Amino acid sequence: MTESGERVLGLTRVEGTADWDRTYREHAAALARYLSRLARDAGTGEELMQECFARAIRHGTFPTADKDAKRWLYRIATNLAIDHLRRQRLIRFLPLVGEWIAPLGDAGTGDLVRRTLRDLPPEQATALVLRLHEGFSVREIGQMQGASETAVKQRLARGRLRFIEIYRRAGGAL
Amino acid sequence: MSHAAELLARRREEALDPAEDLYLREHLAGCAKCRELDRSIVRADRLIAGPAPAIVPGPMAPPRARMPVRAILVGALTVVLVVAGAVAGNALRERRSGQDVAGSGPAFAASVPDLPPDWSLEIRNGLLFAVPANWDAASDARDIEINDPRPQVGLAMMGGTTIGEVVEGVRESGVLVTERAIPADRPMHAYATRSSSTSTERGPTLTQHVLVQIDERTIVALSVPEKAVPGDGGAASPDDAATLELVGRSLFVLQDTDDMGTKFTEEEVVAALGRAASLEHSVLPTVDAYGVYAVNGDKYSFAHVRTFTDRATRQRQDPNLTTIQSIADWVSPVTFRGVGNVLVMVGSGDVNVRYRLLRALDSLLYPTEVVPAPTPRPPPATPMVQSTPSPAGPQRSSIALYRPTDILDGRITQLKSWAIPWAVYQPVFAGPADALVLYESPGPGTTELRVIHLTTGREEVVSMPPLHLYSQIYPLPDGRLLATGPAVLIGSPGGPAMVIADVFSQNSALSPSGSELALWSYGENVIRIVDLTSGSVRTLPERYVRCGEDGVVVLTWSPDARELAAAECADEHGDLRTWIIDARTGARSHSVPDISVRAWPTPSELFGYAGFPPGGEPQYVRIRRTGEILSRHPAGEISPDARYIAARTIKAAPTAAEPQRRIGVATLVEIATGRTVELGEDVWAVGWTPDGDLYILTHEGGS
Repeated sequence: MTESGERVLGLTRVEGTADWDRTYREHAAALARYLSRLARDAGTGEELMQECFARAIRHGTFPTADKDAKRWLYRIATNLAIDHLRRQRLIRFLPLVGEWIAPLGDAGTGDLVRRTLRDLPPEQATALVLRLHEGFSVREIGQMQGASETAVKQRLARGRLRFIEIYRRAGGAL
Repeated sequence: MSHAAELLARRREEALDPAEDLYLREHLAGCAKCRELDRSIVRADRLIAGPAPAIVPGPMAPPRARMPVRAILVGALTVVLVVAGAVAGNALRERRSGQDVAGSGPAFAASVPDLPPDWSLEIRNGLLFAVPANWDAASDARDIEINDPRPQVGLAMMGGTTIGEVVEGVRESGVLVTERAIPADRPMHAYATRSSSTSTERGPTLTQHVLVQIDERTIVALSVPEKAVPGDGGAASPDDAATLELVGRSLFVLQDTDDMGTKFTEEEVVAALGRAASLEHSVLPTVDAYGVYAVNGDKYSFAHVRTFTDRATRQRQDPNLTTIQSIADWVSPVTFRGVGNVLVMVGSGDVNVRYRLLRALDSLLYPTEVVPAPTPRPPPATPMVQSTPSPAGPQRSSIALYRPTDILDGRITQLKSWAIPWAVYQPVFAGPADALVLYESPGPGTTELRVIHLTTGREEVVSMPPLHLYSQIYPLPDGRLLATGPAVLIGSPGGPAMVIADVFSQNSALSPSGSELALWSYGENVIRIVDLTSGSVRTLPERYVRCGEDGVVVLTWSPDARELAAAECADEHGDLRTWIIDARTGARSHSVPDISVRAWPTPSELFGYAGFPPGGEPQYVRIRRTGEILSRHPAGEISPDARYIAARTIKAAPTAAEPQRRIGVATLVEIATGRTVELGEDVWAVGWTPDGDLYILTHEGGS
């Protein structure tokens, strides 16, 4: 990335680690919660969070404003979550058959919510969690997902209906 | 998605325009299901927004450095084992379930296999396994090149399922060729499948798999493609099968290997010898991770690295740890697993030595709790569960023909009937021919076809083992059978079958005259037309993508066979639509959004599913070519003259003795008038003969 490009994006090169230490302290917990909502378990969510910071550091630049840092990290985390969800879908399909979807019986509500989110199209799942769990605006989600506000609204609307359908099919009561 | 449902979901994010708002309010006033959906959306929002599990991430750990410690001997065929202090059982993953726990735990991999000494070890996806000397390994079964001259074993992880379910799924999908029982002390399952090879033009290829259940939720599938398992008409080579099985037996779940992409050079390892090692740098008991690494690409050498997340570790005067930036620049891949201390180097010419030491060290560092053996889940319910007979009751099955006008007039008169075995489990493929084909399963693992010639009443039972591989079977006007699946076959019942076209398909549709066959394959997402007279195959332009992972593109011929309706999605999670296509050129005429066409009985009328409301049944609609909805009906089979719909529905019919009793009912609807008649209580399937008679298949004696 050229220096002018970095200026346009509000990024500055890291000279030390202080920024990262502070950023980690401020955002790691929230990012881990966000990613755990979409992953199979909290451990996987925390690993994704760690990978999120690893990617951010590997990028070698740092947003100037804290507000930008948060959005930037969530954007990386969202991409990671989408990759993770897509990979999980592939793993479940390959090489022979798909996963047998059965009612979960006495599985906890939290597990059922996470499982249902994993069964949604990844863009819909991440949009829903960013909106409802993390409280981002539609515009902010659009920036993180690289999509228009109209597309995000559509993902949220379809995601809500799909969530209800899958959640009920898996035995959940709404 | 119905319009009202879409509006309900949309208004959670934005104000509807006045017209939409008025429509919705009026609609809600008269639609109890919609009001319930509205409440469900609110509750779903709360669930998604609800409290997440409490996670308190540890302090940020720096990326793993390359060998910032000492005490390694490289290249020698000796073993140095240095365990740095006590190790907390703070395993990151709990995938290994009781392995190596003497006298307990599941049988899988409890014993260490004897491996040919010249085999090598691989660690892929956190799994340790041995590979024959002349084989390669791939982390992903999809990476295996079919034409690669070297045999390769590839991995695929499947979560949330059991071996039994996988095998059953393969069997049902018709790609199972052989299946070999595995001794009871090893809960593996080996079998060979015939599957498509979409990356080459060679058509179907034989791939052998060994499945290993590594924990209650995860199966590892080891696959070897055709080159490694030369088949002789479908039988896998016993030698290669045994080899793959031995690979499967060596499979061992390492607790946390992070990423094996990191390779240390010999210089780096030697440099590490001069560093303060293990105990001095340990910050116990905060150990939370360690890794296993190949050294310098040497297949005989592995290094175990124990890592720390404690910030105190990197605050020490370690040149590799002064800044995160300096580490991030040269460590790849970066994971925040802390800084490693080398614990062990394993080097030996005998793979068994390396293998056993790696397992032993892994178990030492991460002793696992004894867990009970996985409890097999019950097999998925099959449709037959609806009609399971009471053991004491008589079991009679029959298929009978009725005239729809008789039924609507209140006369239940059988035109013809046939007593058939109870074993029929999948009913009928009817085509333009004057015959019905029924699947039967007279015994476990066996499949037969019963062909009923409607005019003569003659029945044939066909035992054609290759045919059970095929997913769709049609009777042809000339009395032969057409089968689709791994290829397109035509054969006489009981006689030899001939491959008409070496084309794999997951869905097909026979043209009304029976002279052409439309095929769709998800591997290539294309539609092909097979001329059944000449065997020629033409591929239509454009891609057609199924909706969702378990779906297929549904094909429907127009009555004059000049056009096809193809129900597909823009992508696997996109919007449903049906394209109207010129069957000769593939040119698209137009698309009908949000409708999946399933029948095209007359030139101007099509039938299909419209909308899939959450928690509700999709609507079955009659439409014009343009998609304009003419009327809505119960879903079912359309009669050849497009005057009736027949369906089988399940209804609750509780009795005092059986409060959960459910019955299968045949429903006949006259489209023009909406007149509806229900009959029977043991109905298993309904459909239409080419002459327009209704057939009803019943299983009596059930509860």
